[in-house]
Amino acid sequence: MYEVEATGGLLLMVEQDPREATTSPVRERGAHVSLVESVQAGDREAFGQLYKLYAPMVHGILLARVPFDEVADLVQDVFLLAFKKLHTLRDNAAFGGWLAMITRNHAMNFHRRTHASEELTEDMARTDSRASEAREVLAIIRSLPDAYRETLILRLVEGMTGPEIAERTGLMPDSVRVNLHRGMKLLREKLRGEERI
Amino acid sequence: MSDYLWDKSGEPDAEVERLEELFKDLRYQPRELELPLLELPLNAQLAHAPGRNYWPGLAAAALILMGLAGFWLVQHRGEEVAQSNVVAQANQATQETQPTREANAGEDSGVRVNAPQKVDQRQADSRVELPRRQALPHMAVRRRQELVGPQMVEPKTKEASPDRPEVADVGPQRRLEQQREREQQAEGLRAKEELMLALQVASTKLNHAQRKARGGTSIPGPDSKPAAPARIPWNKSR
Repeated sequence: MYEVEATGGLLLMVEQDPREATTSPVRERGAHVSLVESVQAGDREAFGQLYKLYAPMVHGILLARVPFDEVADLVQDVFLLAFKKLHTLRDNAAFGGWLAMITRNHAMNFHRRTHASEELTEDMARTDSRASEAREVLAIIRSLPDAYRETLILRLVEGMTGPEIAERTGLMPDSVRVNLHRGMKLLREKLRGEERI
Repeated sequence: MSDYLWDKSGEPDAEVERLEELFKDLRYQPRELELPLLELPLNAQLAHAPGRNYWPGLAAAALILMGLAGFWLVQHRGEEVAQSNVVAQANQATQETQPTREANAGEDSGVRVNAPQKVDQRQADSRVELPRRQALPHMAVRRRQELVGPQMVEPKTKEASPDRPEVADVGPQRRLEQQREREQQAEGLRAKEELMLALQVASTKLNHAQRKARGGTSIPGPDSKPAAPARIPWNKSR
């Protein structure tokens, strides 16, 4: 099966794996819509499935904005908030984008509530060099523009693919691809700059 | 065209792979979501479900309670009045015995006084012993007067007989009784007015609640309050 896609002014014809076709973002999105409808009808189990599907995205978006130690609790808060406000969602197909927006707002509220203390205290106690390196690189990613850091963390930390990121966050796949490449380019430059220092 | 950064297809990018490995520990770890058990309703339709409107029931209960309170108030006041009559009569009896002693003292000293106080004192003593028997006939007469009119109520006591000239009956005792009757009537009227006012207020509240119920504005019911969170084991395996 071939898929035609226009990216950056180029017309691409890519062969698509048949296995991938069965779990294409379009079909997944349809399944997600039915899950949202089930939750609105009072099915709590369906919300559990949505939680499983979207928790990595929420985790990644929060990780791009708040200290690592706070992220796990904030993920729970975001889903509770989403559960309470689900009746305000107008387009069920836009659940991912809606949830991403709630997550970003919640991260902003967190910063309003608590004065920035960063993660230095936690890091200082740690002697694990790999963990400290991970935090350093994470800090560099966080210093990138919003669009790049969020996409890069979802790809590098949460292990999501570009199409998955687009499908979950409600962004256009082309935008995600561009953000990924430009963000990675910036990250490489910064990492090299760090190495030189 | 393969693009490892985009969809993990094709030849892996060494730097991307290294970063993926580095960030492994920061990745999302599945955790159970805790949702409050009674966190319903989920959508606006459920929130406006007719079965969740408790206002008419609450208004009816309030009305019944107010009626009971008014009834209790009337009864309680009647008893209070009866008790105050007993106390007043007892005080009067003690006051009346005082001049008798003085008169007796005066008799001893040669001054003669016509005093029928001994009979009064006996009456007062009997009233103190049986307060309800004294207080209740007045209330019964008053109620009968209210129901059938004062002209239809026949006098039962000898003192209240219209055949006798009123001037002859009007002694301090009679005047006191008449005054007490008037006070009791005033008390009864006050209690009645209070009861009517309470019923009017309750009726207004009931009307208001009914109007609200018809208008469709719903207020969350008691079960919409958040309850203690319960663990839902839907995320044990990812």
